[in-house]
Amino acid sequence: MNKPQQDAAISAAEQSDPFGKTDPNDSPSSNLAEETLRIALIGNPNTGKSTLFNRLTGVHQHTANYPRVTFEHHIGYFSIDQQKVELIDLPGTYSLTPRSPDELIPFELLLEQSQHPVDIILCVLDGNNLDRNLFLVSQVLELRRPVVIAVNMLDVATRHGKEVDLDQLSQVLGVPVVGIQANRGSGLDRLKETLMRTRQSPPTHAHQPFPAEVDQVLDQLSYEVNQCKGQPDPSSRFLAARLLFDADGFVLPLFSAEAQAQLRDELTAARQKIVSSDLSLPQQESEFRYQWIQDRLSSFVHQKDHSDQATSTERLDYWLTHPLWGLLVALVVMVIVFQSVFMIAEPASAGIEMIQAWLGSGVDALIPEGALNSLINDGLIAGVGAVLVFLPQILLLFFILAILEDTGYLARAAYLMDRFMARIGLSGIALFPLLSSFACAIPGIMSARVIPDRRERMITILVAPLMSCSARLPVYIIMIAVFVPDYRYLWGWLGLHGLVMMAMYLVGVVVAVGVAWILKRTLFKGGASTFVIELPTYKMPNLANVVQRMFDGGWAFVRDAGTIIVAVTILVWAASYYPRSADLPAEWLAQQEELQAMIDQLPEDADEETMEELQQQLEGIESAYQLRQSFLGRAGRAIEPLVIPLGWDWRIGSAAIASFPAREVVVATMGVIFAQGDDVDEESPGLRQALANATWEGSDRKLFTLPVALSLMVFFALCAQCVSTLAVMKRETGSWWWPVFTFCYMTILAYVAALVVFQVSNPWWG
Amino acid sequence: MIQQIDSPRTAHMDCGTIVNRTPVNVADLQRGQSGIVASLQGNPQDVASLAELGLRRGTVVHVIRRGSTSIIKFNSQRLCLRLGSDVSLLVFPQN
Repeated sequence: MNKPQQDAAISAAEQSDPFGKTDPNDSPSSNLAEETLRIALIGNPNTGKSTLFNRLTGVHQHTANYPRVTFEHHIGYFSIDQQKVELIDLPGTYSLTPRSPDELIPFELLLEQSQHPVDIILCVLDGNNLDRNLFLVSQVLELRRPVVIAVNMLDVATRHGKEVDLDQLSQVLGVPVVGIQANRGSGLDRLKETLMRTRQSPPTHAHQPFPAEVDQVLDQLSYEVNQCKGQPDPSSRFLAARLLFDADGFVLPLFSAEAQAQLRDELTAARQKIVSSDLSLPQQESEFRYQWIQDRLSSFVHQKDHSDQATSTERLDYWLTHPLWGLLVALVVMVIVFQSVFMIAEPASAGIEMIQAWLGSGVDALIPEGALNSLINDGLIAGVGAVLVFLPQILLLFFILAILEDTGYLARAAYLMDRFMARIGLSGIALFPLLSSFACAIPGIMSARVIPDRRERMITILVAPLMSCSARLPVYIIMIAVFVPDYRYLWGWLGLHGLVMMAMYLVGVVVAVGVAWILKRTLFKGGASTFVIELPTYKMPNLANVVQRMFDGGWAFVRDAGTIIVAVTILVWAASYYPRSADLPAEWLAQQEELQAMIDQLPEDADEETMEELQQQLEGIESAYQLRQSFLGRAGRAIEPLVIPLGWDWRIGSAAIASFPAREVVVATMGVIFAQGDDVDEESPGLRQALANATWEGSDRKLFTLPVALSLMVFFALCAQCVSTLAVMKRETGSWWWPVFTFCYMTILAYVAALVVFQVSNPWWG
Repeated sequence: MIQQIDSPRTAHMDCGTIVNRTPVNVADLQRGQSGIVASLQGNPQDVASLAELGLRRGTVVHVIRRGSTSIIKFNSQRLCLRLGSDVSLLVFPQN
């Protein structure tokens, strides 16, 4: 087929039935009503796209993922009269040029001509910033698919003295244009009517933003694309433009190997023609499209008010981006975020733990003690609880971040923090995920999605677990309370306990800075990258958007990380439970008898707390023995030669292994190992006493000393003992490689640091 | 590879008096000062991304906050911008 024949075929196809879906013998209206209308929603960031999406679909939406990439988007449903509509909310983008595997997904989705192609592309534009928004529209129009433009934020344009002529814009673009106010829900009925009318109507005229010499090159490339496909493709012009300007080489591999071979030479020749005309790629695409926009802008945007009066956003920005006041406000906001996640979420998490305990006692009442009881209590309930206990923190953090983002403040905070973060190879926006990780690395890692640059996002994710999270606190508290002397300085205002606690937090921060620096120069090599973030107009947050993002974050965690966490918790339970011995050896029986005698000799008016503690210790003796000869205990004894240089014995080693699902488990595990029962925490006097009195097996030498306590704290400060964190990391990076890498590097780091701390401090304080 | 925007199309350069015909780095502009983009050079991916935002030869840029991380305004938008070590944005300063 020659080119004129191709063009005629494309034109006929567009006018009658562009996608070959309808049977000419069927009634058009009934056939269309049966099929779901698929609409892709696209637009720049901060145009109110999500607000429109939520307005149209309400609660009828879900998140869709793609394998091997972290790209995800929302799909929602609504009806226009009797017609069911599927609305696909693509991530905000300034351009359809793919520059990463993630950015190929929306690109392919818009081109998709499989069983369920997108029927209409709905572009949402910011009425106050049409020139930049029209760049994307210029690319979309080349798809030659039905397009509807929704111009949002016209009230903002009016405040800036602009009047937008929607009819004229429609004539210029050749597609319907509707004015909407998404936050108020106005204009939506007209938008829906327009969508129904447009479903089989591509643009009325071809979009040609390029000069003649480039047009000729694109015509030829379009012809070649159609030849490769074997049939005319209405989007061939779009594909030709993408191929021509695609310096990163993402588009050509979308074609078959045969087509690539056919197109490669043609592409080289096409680029040579443009280069020889004194034009360079791919920036020329921007140049030509913006020139096309600039030449026409004044025909549909009329500047009524030329005064230079500062807007409310500009007035607010004077203070909120001020080097001093802005920084103070940002620090206050960060303290609020940190404190909120740490303190407000804690009661909710405590509530979940109470429910766990209530369920556990219910199981105890129904199922006698044994393997099944233990599996349900210590495996399933503990596993599910280990997932749900993080949910309040995750939901709260995403709620706060969504508010900060929706109002437009997050971008300002990123600007203020950038000059500090840039010194360690990160950008300002990375501070929020890292700060959140002080409460818990799980929501911190998930919130790294706000970082646009992939390298910086990866570095942030990989160092976030080094921030001392709340799960490390039990270890710090018990070790400091029992083994660090309570010296006071500055007239009692400053205590050594507090200073050591602060030092543990600083250990993580200092090491994180170093690791980020190394990663930036090795695995994520590259010079200081360009950091660009739009500072949108300030606005009130849209509650629907905020709540949606909050639940998205929570559900993603429960669905993807939760299953792994439950599975690993059950595995560790099994390792600590089996194998079991029916009888206790003589020496353990003697300990039980001795303790029973003590209980029997207690006076009738003895303190209930003392009674309970002794009872717990009595039950703890059997638990301690069973743990000793379980797989976990044997593993602890197997690694003992490795942990002795850290000042540990097999019992501390077993506790470290058992804490892999969750760090805070280490205290309860130590309670079992040191025969205090598993119902202890860092405040339990019995456990503190047991640790203070513990000796190396077969000797009177104290097991726990200050150097041992320091090495244990440093190990837990730097280790990756949290399967939840690793599971979330897998989810956010799309690969198991990164969690494995993180576990390895953090374990090695923790081991070496603990070794150094013990070996250096032991001669002095051992 | 260095890519330079060098288009003959500068019809939109109508933005006041150019103080100095020698282009300077945008980071050298003072707060409140504006400049006309003379060239945007460097890493092709970063340059292409900035060009897609409308930052191209002839665009008038106003500096809201100066520094290595700055806030600039052009074409009805405000951006926080820190250029990578391999990107340079040169402007003709205006009054």
